[in-house]
Amino acid sequence: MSEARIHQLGYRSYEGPRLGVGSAVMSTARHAFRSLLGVRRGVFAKLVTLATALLAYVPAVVLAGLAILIPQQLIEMGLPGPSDFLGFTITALVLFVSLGSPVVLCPDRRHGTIALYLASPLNRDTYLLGRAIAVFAFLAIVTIGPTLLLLFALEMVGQGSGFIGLLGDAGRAIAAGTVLGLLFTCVSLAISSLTDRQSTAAAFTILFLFGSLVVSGILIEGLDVTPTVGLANVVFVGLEAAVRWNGETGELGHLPTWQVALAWAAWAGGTAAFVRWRYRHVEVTR
Amino acid sequence: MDAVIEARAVTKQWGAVTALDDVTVDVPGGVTGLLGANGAGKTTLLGLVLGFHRPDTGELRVLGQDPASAGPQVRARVGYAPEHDALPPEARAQELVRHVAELHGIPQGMAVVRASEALDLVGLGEERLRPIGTMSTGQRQRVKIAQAIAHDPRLLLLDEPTNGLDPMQRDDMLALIRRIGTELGIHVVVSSHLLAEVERVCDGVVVLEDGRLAGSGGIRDLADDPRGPHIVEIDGPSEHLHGLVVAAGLVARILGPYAIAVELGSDDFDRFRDLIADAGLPLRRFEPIRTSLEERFFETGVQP
Repeated sequence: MSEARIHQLGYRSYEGPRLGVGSAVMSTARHAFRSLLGVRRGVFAKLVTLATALLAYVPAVVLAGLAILIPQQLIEMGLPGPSDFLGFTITALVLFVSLGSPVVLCPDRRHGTIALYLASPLNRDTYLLGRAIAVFAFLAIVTIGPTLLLLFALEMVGQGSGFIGLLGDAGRAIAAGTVLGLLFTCVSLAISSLTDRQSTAAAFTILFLFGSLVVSGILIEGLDVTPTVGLANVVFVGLEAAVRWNGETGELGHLPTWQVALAWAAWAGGTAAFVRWRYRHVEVTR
Repeated sequence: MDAVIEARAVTKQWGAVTALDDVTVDVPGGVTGLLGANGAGKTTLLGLVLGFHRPDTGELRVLGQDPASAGPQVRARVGYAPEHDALPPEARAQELVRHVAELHGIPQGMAVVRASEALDLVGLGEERLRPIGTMSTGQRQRVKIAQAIAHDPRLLLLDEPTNGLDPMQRDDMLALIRRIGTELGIHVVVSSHLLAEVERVCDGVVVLEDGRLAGSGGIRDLADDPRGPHIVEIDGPSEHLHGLVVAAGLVARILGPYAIAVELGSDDFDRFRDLIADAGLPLRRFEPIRTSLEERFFETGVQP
């Protein structure tokens, strides 16, 4: 007599462990991050994400290559500081920001999937937290990744500041990237909360970020308006707050650090409060 | 069985519109129909049960907890399939169901298993890797059910689950709902504006009309009100019985050569029994005339 086993047991009641809200937040963050990387999305979405990320890494790769090929000349020319380096990647960063939040917020409202999220242990705040974590992690690819790559590359070719120095530099690079990423996460989520159309949100984000650069440039350079107006430029504020972690200054170098910090907090806190307010009014059922 | 949903004087307004007006009801375990015309307040009640909104006044308890203050704990034990299309078209069925199971606290590895089991149960085992956007309306409705049961909820809320289905798909969906409520031991609340559906699959019913409670109870209890018309059949001419009954002050009408229908209030039963006994009439049949839910609630605007 042969032994028989039933392999397909069908639907059964579940008696195992049930994780809490924290697990639900991380699950929604993980799921959104996969979408941002292009998983289960079309080839075009994957290529755009990859191309934009490469754009952010090109300066780091070029500098690392030059450090290997012509180390002496590079030192004589002067290695770029974090301020210069973040400036190199600003275009990629703005593109990345415009790719991020619209993907994680707009389709859920457009397709009504938000009802499934809010019918889980998540509420509106914890749902947004999960989405924000995903966007922040996505932006970290360009706000932190290239700087770390460059630091490690320079260290490997003997152009760095030693192991201890490298740890300090890496810590500051992570802090600077975090400051920049947090601000852009909040701003881009706020813009994406205005519409349920992904492409419209992406266009609004690019227009807003580049628009604020252009307008503040015209006001300060062209019309000689007080340079404090630069604090209305979210890109300048983000970059300035980031580079000051490294003891450097950027476009807003004439302003005291407390003003920059206050402007950063106002932008980040204000846009975070706005997106929270918007989601208080998102209709799930009625 | 304890009530899975207890509402006490619950009122909810949307601006000037009163969606729920002083609703007091206990929803028992088993399969319960939430019946009412469009705009009767069914979806608002489900939203309150899930803690999406707070009642303006009154108290609501779901599985013994207040969803307004213990929303995450309540929702962890509740499954919900919304009325509208809530599924991302590019996602695969397996991926979505697994993700929703994780959101409800099922660990990652187990969520994969649960998703497969739930999709098998709803008949989509072979379609689990298809993008949802390529599925038919019936299949998408089944995905909604699968995501709602994958985490083994104690209470399942289905908002108009047969919307957009053809008659054959509707039959299958109703059979599936009945099976979930009976074989899996999950309490089910099915919102519908179709009486026939509720009568077919539900043990109990809650009827809403313009935000007010129009009735609630077991399907049989509501359909067979002991007060009201009864059919009486004797072994003799119905005219004789009809004369006796009318002479006793009761309202009756002749139904046939041996049968009459008589209206009986709660206090009339003993009098009617004595009347029959005193007259020495051989009684062959005495039972309430069954009314369907359709007849009982036709005025509420509910569609048969």
